[in-house]
Amino acid sequence: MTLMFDVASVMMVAIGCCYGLLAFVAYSSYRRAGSKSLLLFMGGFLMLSITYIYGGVAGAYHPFNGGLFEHVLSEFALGGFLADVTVKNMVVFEALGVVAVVLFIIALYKAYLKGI
Amino acid sequence: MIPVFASTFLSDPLVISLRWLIILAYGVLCGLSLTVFFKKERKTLFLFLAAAFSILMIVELGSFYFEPMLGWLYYYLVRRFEWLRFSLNYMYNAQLEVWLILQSLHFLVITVFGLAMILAGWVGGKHSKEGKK
Repeated sequence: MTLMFDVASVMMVAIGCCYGLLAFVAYSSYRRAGSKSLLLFMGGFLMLSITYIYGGVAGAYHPFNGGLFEHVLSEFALGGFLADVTVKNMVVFEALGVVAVVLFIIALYKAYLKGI
Repeated sequence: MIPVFASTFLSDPLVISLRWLIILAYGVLCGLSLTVFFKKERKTLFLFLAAAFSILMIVELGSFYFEPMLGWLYYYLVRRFEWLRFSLNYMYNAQLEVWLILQSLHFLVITVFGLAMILAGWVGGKHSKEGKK
């Protein structure tokens, strides 16, 4: 088990942090304007923030790099337990993205009905 | 050594369907923002939102193409055409660069979203103050 923060992983964590900041900006706007749709936007940005931080850390985790499992990777075996863990990571990553998108859709619909 | 990309496992059908769902949803969000842009006041705000969602859709579509190329397809090709390993490694690194450039578009999206949120707070605050008067 190794954590190897390559450029891609660091970039994803940085994107996640920026989305966190954006959520704070949306919250400040909510405090100022008082619109509930801005709160939903904040929720969406928070979800994207968690998604990218999670994705960056999960991407930095290389279960096959320990040497012991390198032959599994070279044989391109997808059926193993460690591969299964990575698939679960990807499913969580995408599911969080879906939640963010749903929040955005509700926020826009509310904005359409009542305005921001 | 070529690093293992997390999306080596993008061949999972559930992951693929969730990805398509997200891409389609960003398209719908872009359309919704444009609808609000044409029908409601405060047009700039919704134009910013439409721009941000359309860039997000492009980033997701690009990732959908590049990530298998950086994962399972690379390993398949290397195993199938061992004599092409040097060129495939070169292709892998070049595509990784393009993937990174594509991901950097997220910073542009964050900026546009940030402007939209600031605008929403600014104009909304002005409206609510006028309402109080």
